[in-house]
Amino acid sequence: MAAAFLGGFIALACLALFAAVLVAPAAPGLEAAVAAALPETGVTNPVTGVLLDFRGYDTLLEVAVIALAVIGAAALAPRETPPAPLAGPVATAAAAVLAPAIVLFSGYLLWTGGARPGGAFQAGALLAGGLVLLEITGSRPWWRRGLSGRLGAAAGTAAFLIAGLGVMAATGRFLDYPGPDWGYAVILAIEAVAAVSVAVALSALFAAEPGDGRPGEGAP
Amino acid sequence: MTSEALYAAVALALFGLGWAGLLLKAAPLRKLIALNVMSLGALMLLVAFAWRPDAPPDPVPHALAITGIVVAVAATALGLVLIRRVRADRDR
Amino acid sequence: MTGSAELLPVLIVGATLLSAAAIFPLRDDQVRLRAAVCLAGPAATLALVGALIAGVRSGARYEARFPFLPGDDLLLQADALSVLFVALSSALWLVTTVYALGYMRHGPNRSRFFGFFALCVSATMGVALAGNMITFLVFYETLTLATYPLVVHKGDAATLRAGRTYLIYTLSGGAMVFLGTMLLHALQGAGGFEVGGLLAQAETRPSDAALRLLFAILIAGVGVKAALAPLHGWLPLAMVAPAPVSALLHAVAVVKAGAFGVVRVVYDVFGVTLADALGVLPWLGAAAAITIVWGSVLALGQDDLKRRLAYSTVSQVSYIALGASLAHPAAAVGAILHLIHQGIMKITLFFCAGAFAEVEGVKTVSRMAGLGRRMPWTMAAFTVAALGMIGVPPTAGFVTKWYLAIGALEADGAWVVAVLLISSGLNAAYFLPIVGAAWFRPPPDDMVRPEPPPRLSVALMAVSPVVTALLVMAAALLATSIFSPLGWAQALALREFGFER
Repeated sequence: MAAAFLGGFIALACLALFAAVLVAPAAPGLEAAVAAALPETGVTNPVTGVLLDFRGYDTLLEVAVIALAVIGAAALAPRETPPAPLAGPVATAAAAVLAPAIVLFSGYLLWTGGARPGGAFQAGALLAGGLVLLEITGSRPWWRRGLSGRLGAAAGTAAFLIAGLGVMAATGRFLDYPGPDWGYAVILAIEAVAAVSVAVALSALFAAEPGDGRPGEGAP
Repeated sequence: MTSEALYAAVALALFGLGWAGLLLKAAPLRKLIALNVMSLGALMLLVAFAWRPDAPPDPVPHALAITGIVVAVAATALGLVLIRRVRADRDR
Repeated sequence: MTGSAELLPVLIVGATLLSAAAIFPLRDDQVRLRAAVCLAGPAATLALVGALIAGVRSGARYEARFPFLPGDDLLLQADALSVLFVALSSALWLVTTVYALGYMRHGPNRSRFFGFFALCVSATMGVALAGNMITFLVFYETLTLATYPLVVHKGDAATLRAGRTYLIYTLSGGAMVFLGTMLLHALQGAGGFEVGGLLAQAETRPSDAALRLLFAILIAGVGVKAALAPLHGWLPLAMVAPAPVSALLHAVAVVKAGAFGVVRVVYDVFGVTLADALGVLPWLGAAAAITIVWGSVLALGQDDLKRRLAYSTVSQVSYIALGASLAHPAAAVGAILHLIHQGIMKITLFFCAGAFAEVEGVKTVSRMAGLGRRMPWTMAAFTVAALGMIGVPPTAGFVTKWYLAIGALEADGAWVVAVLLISSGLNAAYFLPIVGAAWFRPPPDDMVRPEPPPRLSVALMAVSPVVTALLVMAAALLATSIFSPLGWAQALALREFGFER
């Protein structure tokens, strides 16, 4: 009976939500405010401006959430999967061709994010795909393992914090970038570190192997 | 029906499907997938709200959606590790 | 406004929270200390509530704001309606604590039990004192979470299953209230409860469709706790809880918070005039009427005493929604009065049911014959409360039904009188045989009596229902005195309908 109630309730609640969306008066968005303040940031893509400047706190904590997930996974899974479950001539050859292209394209995504759709998270996700490709073909890079891997996963948060404190020295407020020229440079620097950091973190999450919970022979 | 309403309808359908799966399915993996479907619905609703009839979309909900996707990925990954750890401990 | 005037509502919620915080760390074997703390909490709260009543009577306004969300404050305020509910809750908290100290003599986790008990009262106080929808929502959800450990106190598999159903229902209702709160905000912005209706005073009135939707969502949300059919499924299952919890849940905390929510939504969010103009009230009235009759019919078929009482609650609480739906001052008086009267009557019945089970091992209706001779005081209290439920004068139930019937007749709702009569007939059908058998028939031959509890326990479990049964009588006999809730209810109804500002 509870299940029937729940199913009916969820259906009704979603219908009610839909009706609420239809009848609620359209609230004015923030696009005008964003457009007015965008020249201050040095970037021309409003989404990037919002993410890295206007809602910088939000994005800083978001990068921290990824690092926290890695810490959580490391606590639950002290071992990582043995690399190369798919190692073989075809996979290895494909990875050899694809990996450089992925690095190149994610670099492009990172750079273009200042003006067009793209940015740190998109670039980081793509780069993480490349790292996963390397994982499963047996060529896990050395810096993905052990301490440097953990530090890499935390680097995005660290870079964001350092940049935020650095601009504080100039402007007196945390994460308040000074003017368009400097702002662009700071944003791009943060994004570059964040992209690599996100990639390292995501591929570490991919490789987390809970096993039986005891540190095994393969523990880093 | 405007395309905004259509998007909202599909978003809420996804949200409801995920919600039902999250609460009615017992298997943890199904719950996790359902949670992802649910959060997709929520993100899609954000994107629908950002839509403007004859102007570029509102960038703030878009930025929120990107933030949401990233957090959802991190949460899902941690959830998967948790599920596998629980299973490993149970099988031991 | 002076500092203390702002503080009083905060102090009341704070006192309940503090007593919860003081109870939790106690060890289970610190019986005397725990009893002292458990009684000090309600006593202190009652004193504060007394000050609040005196203040509100002399026209003082109490209001405390805390920043919560941008543009939305947490607002605790004391208007006449909240004072009524706060007074009921604190008084019955004290009585129930006395009863529970007798009832919960043994078993593990008693500090946890009494701690969550206080926490649950604390959430109820918050619901009562909430000055706007968002504050109401916060405490309404807290109430769900604080009552869950009480419902599943026994902790066996069946109890946990019932508790799960309880959570599913109540959290779903909470989600609906959340949705309604958001929609209210989108339509109206931040605003508190207003006599005559928050939405009625809006400068630009939202579309009728939007307002009807909002009404449906909010009523569905509070209707889960108020056990409006078909949202009542959790209530009979929640009977797995210990008797003092059932008593508190049915009389004050959960069910009553839902009914209180219905009153708030109809009177202070929409306002009777606006709700009447929207044409939504007959729907609420129909749902309430169906619940009243259906709940009574189901109660008739229950042999388990607590389950019979549970279905009786389903039926009786909907009188409040019925009165609120009639858009007539006299019916409003009935609805507001029933908030109080149903509370004292139903808590008496549950006290008695728990005492019968603990002292004589009687849990079912079919084995209640002859109980009157062995537990005369408790059975007398049960009889008074049962007569009150039926609506026999001079009991509290009679006053309520009287005002509801007058309101119905004057609002051209003769069908409501029919519903009241049918319901009273059904009430009589499921209560009178119990009372008759208990007083006039010999006990069953195969009576197995359990190990009798300590005499102090028995005394505590007898005193509480007798006190509340006396209140049931007093509410009718002293209805015109200044201490009776009737005067408050009349003043409230007059203001709501705009006869008096």
